[in-house]
Amino acid sequence: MSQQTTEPKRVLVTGSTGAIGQPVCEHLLARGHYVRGFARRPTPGLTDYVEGDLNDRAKVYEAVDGMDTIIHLGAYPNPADFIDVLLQPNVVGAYYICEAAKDLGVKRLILASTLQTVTGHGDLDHPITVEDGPMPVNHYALTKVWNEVMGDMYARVHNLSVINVRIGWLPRNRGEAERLVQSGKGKNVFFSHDDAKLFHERCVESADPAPGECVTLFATSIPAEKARLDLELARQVIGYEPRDVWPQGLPFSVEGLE
Amino acid sequence: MIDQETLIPRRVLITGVAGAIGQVVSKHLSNRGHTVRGFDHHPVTNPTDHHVGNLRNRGALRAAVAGMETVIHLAAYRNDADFMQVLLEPNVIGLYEICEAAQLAGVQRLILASTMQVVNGFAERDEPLTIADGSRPTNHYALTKLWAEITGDMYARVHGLSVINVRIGWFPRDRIIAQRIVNSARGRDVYFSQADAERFFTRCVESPTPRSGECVTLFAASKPTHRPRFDLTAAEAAIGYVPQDQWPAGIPFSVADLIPDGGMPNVV
Repeated sequence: MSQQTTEPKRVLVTGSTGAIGQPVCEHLLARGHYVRGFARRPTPGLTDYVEGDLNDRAKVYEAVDGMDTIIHLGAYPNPADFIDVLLQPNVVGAYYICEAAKDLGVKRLILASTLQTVTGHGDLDHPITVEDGPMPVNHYALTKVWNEVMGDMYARVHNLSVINVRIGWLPRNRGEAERLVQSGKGKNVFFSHDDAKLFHERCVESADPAPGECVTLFATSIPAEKARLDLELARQVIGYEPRDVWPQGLPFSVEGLE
Repeated sequence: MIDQETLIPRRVLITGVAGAIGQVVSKHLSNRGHTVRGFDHHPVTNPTDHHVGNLRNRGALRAAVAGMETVIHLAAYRNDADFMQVLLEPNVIGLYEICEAAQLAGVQRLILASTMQVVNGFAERDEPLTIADGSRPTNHYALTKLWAEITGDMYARVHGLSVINVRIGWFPRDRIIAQRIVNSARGRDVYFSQADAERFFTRCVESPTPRSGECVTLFAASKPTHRPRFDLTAAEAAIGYVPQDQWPAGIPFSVADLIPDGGMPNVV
C-alpha cells in the first residue's frame, strides 16, 4: 500500500497502444518498472515492444519471454460478430497469453475484463459484487467472462497470481465522454485515465493475490452519485483507492458536455 | 412426475447423435412418441431423419435446426485435448453455432451437454457438490464446457430460451470405460447408466420447467454406490429426474468380470 516503488517488475502490456495501455505504460515506466509493449503497431514512448497479432502464437511467446508480470489489455473491446471479430483476439489471443504465461514462468497475470460482464443485473439495492455472478448480455462480454474463468483455472492449476479486472467506463475521447454524460448512470461507473494508471500500478506492485490465487475486481473511479459496482474488494486485495470523480482525471477537456 | 396422458410430442434435434448417449436417447425419445432428428458428422440409421454435417457448417446446421422445438446438443470433443488443434472448433465455435441456430430458429428449449469435469478441482468432502459451490475446471476440455454453461445462461436471459446445462456423469460407453470406472475410487459414485441417461434426457425434453428465459445447471448421474459426489436433488426439483440405477445396473453389456485394477478388459 505504500506509495514508494516496490521492487521493479518486468511488465508486458498488451494492447499497449490503446486508450488504457498508453497511459499505463507511461505510468509504470515512471514508477521505475521495465515495460515492454505488444500491439499491432509500434508503441509510442517505449523502446521495447513487439509488433504482432494476439493470434500469432510465436509473437505472443516472444513478447512474454523474460517478463514476470503481464497486463493483458489487448482485445476487441466492443460487441461484435463472434466468429468474424471476437474469436481470434478475445478467445485465441487470451488462450495464447495464458499458455505463454504458464510456459515462460510469469508470476502475475492481469486480465482485462469489463463492467459489461454484469450488464444484465437490474437495479440492485447494493453495489454489485463478484458474488452476484456474471450476467453478460452480448458475446463481447461473454468472451470476457470466459477469460475470467480461464484466469481462475490458470491460477489454481498452474499456480499463477491472477487478477481479473472488470474495467469501468473509460472514455477514450470527447465523443465517448458525451455518450457517458448522456447515459444517466455513466458517471457512477466512470473510470478516469489517472485512476486506470493507479489501478494497474496496484495490480503490478501489490503482494496479493498470492500464487495460486485469482481475484476478480471492479475498476472504476469514485461514483458521482450512487455506487453501481463494489470497490471494497479492490481496496482490500490490492489497496486501490480511487481519487477521481467525473470528470476528473481525463486527459482531454469535457467542457460544454454537461 | 411423468403423466403419460398429457405427454406433448416434441420435435427434438440431437446433435452428436452417433455417440453412445445420442444413440440411446434418440431411440428412447422416438419410442415415447417424440419426433427425433439427428445431426452428426457420422451417418447413422437411428434416427431415420438424420442430417450429416459438421458443426462448423452453418448452412447444414441451420437446416437441421429448422422446425425443431427442442435441441439436445451432445456434439463435442469429449476429452481433454489441445485447445487450438482439437477443442476450439467443436466445443467453442460449434457451441456458438448451435446456440445461434437455436435462437434464430425459435427453438424453445436448449439442452447443453456439460461434464462433471467442471468440478474436478474440488477436493473430496462429505457433502455432495451442488451448483452453488461453483465450478473448478482443471483442463481446457472442462473449461470449454464451463464456457458452454455460461453461454447457455446468456441465451436464456437474452433470447428467452429455456436452457438446461447437463453436467454428465461417467457414462460407460464401452468395457474400457467401465474398467476405468471400476478402477477409480469414486467411479461408481459418479456413474451414469444408459437407462438413467434415457430418463434424464426424457425429463429434459418433457419437463415444463425451466421456463422461457430461465437456465438451470444440473448434475446427471445414477445413484451412488457409497457416497454421493454430486447433489441430484436439484435435478429432481427442476425437471423431475430421479435416478433408478446403481452400478452396474443399466449397462447394456456384462461387467461382471471387471475387477479393480484388473487390467485392460476384452473389448468384444
